[in-house]
Amino acid sequence: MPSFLRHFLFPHESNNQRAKLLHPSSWGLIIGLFTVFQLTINQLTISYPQILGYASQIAPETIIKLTNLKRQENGLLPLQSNPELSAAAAQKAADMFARNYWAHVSPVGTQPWYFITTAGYTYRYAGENLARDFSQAQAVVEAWMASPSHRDNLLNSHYQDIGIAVVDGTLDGRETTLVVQLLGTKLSAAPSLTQGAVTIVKPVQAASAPSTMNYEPLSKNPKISPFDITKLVSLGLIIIFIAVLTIDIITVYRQKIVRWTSKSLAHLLFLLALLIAALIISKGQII
Amino acid sequence: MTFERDFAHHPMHYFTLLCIMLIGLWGIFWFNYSRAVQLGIILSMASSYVVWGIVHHAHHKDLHIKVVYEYILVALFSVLIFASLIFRS
Repeated sequence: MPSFLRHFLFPHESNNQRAKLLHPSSWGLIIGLFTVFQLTINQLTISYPQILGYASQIAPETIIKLTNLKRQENGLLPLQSNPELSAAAAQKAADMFARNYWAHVSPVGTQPWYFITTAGYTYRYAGENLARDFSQAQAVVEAWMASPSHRDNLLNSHYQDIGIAVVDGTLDGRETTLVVQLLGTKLSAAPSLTQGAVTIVKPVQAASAPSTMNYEPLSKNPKISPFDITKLVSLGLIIIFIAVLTIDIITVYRQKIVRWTSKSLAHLLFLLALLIAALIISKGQII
Repeated sequence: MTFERDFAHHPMHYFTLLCIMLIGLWGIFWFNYSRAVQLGIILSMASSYVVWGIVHHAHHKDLHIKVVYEYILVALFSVLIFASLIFRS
């Protein structure tokens, strides 16, 4: 085995009986390089979105279809696609891009209900689910179903109509795909047995001319997703450290080496937990 | 102290660490819909890990600033990796 590999990966006299990769200087170097790597991805995402960016293939019809599937599985009536709610959802997405926020209420206090009423939909009940950065419709609906509050919205028996907008744009300097789902029941519809509270709409002006909104995908199918490359590098680093720590523990045990260092077994446990946590994280966020 | 003596003398220490990691992982899995909560959990896990290291080495009477520094670096590395994944997701 080449001596430099032995020096970096195995406990040896040359590295004071501990793989050089496990020395504090190496941890520090890896942390520094990973930070530079992340900053480079940021820059590349902005400068070369055709290479490094987010691409989504989410059709609003698919979201509606999957939502109705979940409702039917739970014994509820399917929702009807409503053009006014869809227009309101598109306007909400436009406002989020124009005012650069990721929340149900805009920085100036505009509630989701404002967009619904201005689109001409007078509601008895209304609700909103938001998602961003997902690449598949199935993943969006699954994420909503996994969250108790979003699930309650999706499976609310009060709702009869649905409107979806999937809009690409720039949020916080990042190309983003927003999914806005608005659910509602018209005031003119027959009231259900259970009365729900109608939210008071605040008279706040929404953004009328979004500057960064773009209904066409900004990046024409970028080749690499920043999330995928980050995950690949992260998993690679974690696995390398786990392997070196395992070698270290076995070597120290077999050769009965006595050292004054931190405990490799503790590091190994922590990094195994990190590996599982990193595997759990998937693309997309919801609120 | 050799590895087997360390483990034999303080099995509860490692069991505690294992429990912290398992509870943290359960939380990360359970709150998969909330990135903020997940970030809070990994920060708690990293802090607990550093505290565990300090307590463990204090029991061994071999606590040194260099040892603490190593635990902090591993914790920092883990938080950086996890936070990057959350930010990119």
